[in-house]
Amino acid sequence: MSFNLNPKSETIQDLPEELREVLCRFAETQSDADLTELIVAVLKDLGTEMDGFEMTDDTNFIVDLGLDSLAITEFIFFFEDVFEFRITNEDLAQMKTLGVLKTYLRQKLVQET
Amino acid sequence: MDKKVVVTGLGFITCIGNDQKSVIDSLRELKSGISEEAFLNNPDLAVKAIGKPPGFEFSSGNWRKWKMPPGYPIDLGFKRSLSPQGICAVGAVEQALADAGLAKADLTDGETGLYGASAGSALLMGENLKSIYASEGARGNPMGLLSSIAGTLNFNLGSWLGIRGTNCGYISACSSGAHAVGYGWDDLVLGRQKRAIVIGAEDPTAETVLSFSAMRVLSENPEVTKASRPFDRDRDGFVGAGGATVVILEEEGYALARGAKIYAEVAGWGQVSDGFHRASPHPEGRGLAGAMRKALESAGIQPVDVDHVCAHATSTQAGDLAEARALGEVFKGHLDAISISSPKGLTGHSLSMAGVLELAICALMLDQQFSVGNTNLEHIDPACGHLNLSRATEDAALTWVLNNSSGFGGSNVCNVLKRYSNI
Repeated sequence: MSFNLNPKSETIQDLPEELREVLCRFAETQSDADLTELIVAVLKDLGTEMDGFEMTDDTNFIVDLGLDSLAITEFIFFFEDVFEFRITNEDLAQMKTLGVLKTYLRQKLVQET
Repeated sequence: MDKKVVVTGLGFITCIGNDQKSVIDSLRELKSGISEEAFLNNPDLAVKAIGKPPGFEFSSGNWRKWKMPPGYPIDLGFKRSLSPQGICAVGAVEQALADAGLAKADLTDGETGLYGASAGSALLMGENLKSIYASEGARGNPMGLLSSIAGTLNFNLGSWLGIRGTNCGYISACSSGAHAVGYGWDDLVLGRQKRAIVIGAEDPTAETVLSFSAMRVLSENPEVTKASRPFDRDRDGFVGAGGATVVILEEEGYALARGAKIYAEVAGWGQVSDGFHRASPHPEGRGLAGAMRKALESAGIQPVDVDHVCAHATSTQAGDLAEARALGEVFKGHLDAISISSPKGLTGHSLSMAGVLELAICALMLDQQFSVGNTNLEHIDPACGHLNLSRATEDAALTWVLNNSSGFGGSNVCNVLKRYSNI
């Protein structure tokens, strides 16, 4: 599996260094741990309070992390923007937990690339 | 009029200072806020002057690259839905609240309204559209609308402050700020609200400023601190500026009950449109003269009562001349006794923000009893020779001050301020 990720694109170059590194590492290893780390890094970059919070596949973005619907669209837009695909409204509505999001992203990346 | 409206708080993120003391220093010592800018990194552009708040940099469409002074009070989560003007407005609101002795929690009483003057963010509108075009409509930044359209100040700052009263935006180009003050005043006088947070803001960016270059109304003077020269014979256009200014208005009884410092009274306003041209003012200043007359009527005073006029004069040939003629018409026989100045020689023209910034300057002049001089007025345009245009900032006994604003389409607004007295 190779991702549609261009590390030299303006979108990716403009990311904070730490987030860019995590993104590139996931693109290289495609490991579950690195995907989790990427999602956590994106949440932190968007200002989500994560101090001391242990993410599991059951973590619910709305209930456990307090994201509202606009924050979720922005969070998901990050993945659309860097991987250059479109997530439909129907799919977006299903992405309530970390586990579901990871599974979805993996499937989407295989389909699109 | 039963209810009096008073100014109790001021906040400035402007090219002449990011705090009240710096602004007063600039006004008293005539220190220009204009700086040189290589717009879009193009050194060949003839337009080189801008008025932008010190320590801020918004030359990228990516909020991650924006620069603010160290310790600037804004959190990451909020920043992403704000335009450059919104970023500036947050700091100006914080300052004005502290100045007025108010906490954010005081604004959620349903008696406080927010009145925002903004034309939106050309920079972020462009970024949003670029992203939509690039993906052929498939993707766009979810914050694109909230950060860029003309209500951006109201959506973002109204919810941030927990405003439960009036929350409305005012869009009339360069008279927007004066309209926001005027309609805030109406709400207080009519008893609909007891407090008005009036925000005027504009992006200090190439995207906002250069559109005026296309209309050939910007100064191309390479000596940038001399580029903005209202009423001067050699003026060649205005200097675009941005940032944010906040004025807190309160119903007098409400302000006195909490022991607030009062800078000045806002005593009335008037507006009259030219009905003449989509961009140019009526050559005789017909609408502006009408706006001044209505404002005088609203405050219950006569032309002879006025001590000072804070002119809209932006340093364009047509605008300054129209205003000079309007002033000549309204104050015929009294012009020698009325000092007239345009602070835009120092600040440039901050477009949607101008009416609020200049109202704040008028409040400071009334509080500290001085009149601001006309910066860069070297040779008075003979057609403006009938006006009493002081070059220097001077101590002055001011009771009644008018603040003029004019915008595209011949929209003219005049706000009236009075030295505060509780008698």
